[in-house]
Amino acid sequence: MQSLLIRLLRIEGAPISLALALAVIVFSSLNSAFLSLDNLAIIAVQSIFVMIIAIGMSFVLTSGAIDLSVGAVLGLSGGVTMFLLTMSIPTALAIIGGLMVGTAFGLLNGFLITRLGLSDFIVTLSTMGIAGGLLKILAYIRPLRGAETDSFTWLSYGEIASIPFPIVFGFLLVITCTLLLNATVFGREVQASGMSSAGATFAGIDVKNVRLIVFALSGFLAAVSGILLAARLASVQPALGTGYELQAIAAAVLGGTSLAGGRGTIIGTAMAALLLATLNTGLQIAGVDPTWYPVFVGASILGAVAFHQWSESYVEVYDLGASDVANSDISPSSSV
Amino acid sequence: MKAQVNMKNSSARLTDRLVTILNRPGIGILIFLVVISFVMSFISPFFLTWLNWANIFNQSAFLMLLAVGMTVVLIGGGIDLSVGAIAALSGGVVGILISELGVPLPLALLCGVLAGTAMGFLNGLIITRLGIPDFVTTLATLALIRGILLVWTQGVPIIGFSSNSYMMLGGLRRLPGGLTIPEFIVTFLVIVGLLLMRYSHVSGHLRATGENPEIARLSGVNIKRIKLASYALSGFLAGVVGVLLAGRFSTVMPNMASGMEIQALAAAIIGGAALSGGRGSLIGAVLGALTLVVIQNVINLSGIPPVFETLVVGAVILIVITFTRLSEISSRQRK
Repeated sequence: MQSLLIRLLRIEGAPISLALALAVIVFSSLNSAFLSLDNLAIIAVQSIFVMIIAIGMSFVLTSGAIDLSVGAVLGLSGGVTMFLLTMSIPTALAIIGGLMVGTAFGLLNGFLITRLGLSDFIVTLSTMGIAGGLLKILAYIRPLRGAETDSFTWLSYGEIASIPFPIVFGFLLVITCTLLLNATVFGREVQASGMSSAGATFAGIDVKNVRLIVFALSGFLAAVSGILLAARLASVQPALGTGYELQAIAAAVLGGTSLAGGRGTIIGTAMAALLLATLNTGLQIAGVDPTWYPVFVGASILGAVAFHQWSESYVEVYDLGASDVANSDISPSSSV
Repeated sequence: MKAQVNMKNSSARLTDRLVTILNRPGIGILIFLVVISFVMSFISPFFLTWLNWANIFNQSAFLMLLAVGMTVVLIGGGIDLSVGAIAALSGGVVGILISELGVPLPLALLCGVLAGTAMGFLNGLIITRLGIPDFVTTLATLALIRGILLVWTQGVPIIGFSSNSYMMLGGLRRLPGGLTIPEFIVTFLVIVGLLLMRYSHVSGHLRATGENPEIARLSGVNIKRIKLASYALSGFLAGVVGVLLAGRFSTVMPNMASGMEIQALAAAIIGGAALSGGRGSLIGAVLGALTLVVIQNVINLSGIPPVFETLVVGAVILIVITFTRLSEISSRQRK
């Protein structure tokens, strides 16, 4: 029984998938409308926007850094695309413009952090202000709406084989990124950089370069998410993306990615993004006042991290045997 | 020949000394503030008036307190993202106690500050006893406390608790001479803090904990208690800010002081605190908070559209830290 539990806990994304299944069971027993195909599709589409930036965040966290600018970059990229559309620039070019802005911000973050050795937290905090500020100025120049083309709208409302395009896209992205993190040399380098930056350097890994690429990837994915969200909302508000970085961090951490670096899971992140969207919709359908949502999110983050620490020490103690129990008290805690 | 060498030496010593002075926390910002004041005095004749600076001080008082609390937490190697939410909760407690239960003002204030301290203490307990990372804990309590406030008020602002003396306390009414009570409270608390940092052994323990918790522990520092105390202090200061803000606004919105944690963090960092722990200066934090408010003031007075504010604040933080870093690198190369 014990070994079964441990084996279960060790599967990537297993604990969060269990939590998701539990949430779905509880909500569907409260209201049968919850389990309808339409509702599930809506939840899945709603979760995509956070899921995409949370995947970028998982890469950044795994490499041992943090990116607080993703929410603002998401908003700015969506805003730039919309801005270009209002200038009647072809849809494809407008999208490329948005993607370039997002990637440029990612590269700027990566450059300042790796080449100048500045703190990732502060750099991305200030680029968050800069990107958010630029979006406000864009929206000040001209209202960012009313210029969507059919192909732009299709990005969020179109269907492939009667499956909504965002879901198809999210599914492909999760598979690609899981392979990228777990089955490529680059993925190994990202994990090694986060585990021990000095150790990775000694092993011949260019940690700075790895982190630069990871930040560029995070900026690029933020742009992708922003463009899809702009297509979904058909307008870009000056504050679009505010607070998304926290949801992305929440999703990554809930899924089992470590804030201390070195350990990340894309599947776990995707499941956690689904769970957050499920909670949001499920609570509303169950008739719970939507003001409770942040309470649930906060409590579930704390619960998930506490559970993670417990399960990890549990697995560790079980592995090491009883003789090392005393030592395990000191070693794993990095914070205090 | 010899005289030349001597001269070279003495000039090198002079630049060395200059670099050391420049590298002291707060000096860079002070220069920035002086330069911007000089430039602004040409752009707007109103900038260098007593009334404008009284306004700036009155506006920055709250941010200064939060930045000081944040600096203490940062020195101890932690981070507190929940201060804005704690401030709102403390203000809400005071508002409800007065408007619905008719509790006298001093008692309500005490309860508000206690509520803030309790929340900070809770943060500290979760971090030190459960071993959950600082960032995650305070991010989660930020969401939790805001959520509780929203559920509690149903999104409706709390009103009907204001009185003349409470407005006076919040700095909405000025004392003769243009000064306000929050300014005195901040001055008093900062001086107490500076004396503690200078003369108490606690500050050494705090720096040691932030610098390297393992070594601090082995040297006999009770790192858990130090961390717990730093979070309780941060909660206490957030509580003070919250009850004063409630007086200033005469209402408590559920989203009061939202985003102030980021501003406080920015102020602390501009003031020389490091996220890696062990480093930080209270004076620097106060000047950092002042800088952010001055930037706002400059934008208002110089006729730049207010939409530029977020961009300018972000850019200034980036420039300050880049400049600090480059001067660090150059002074290291000199050695």
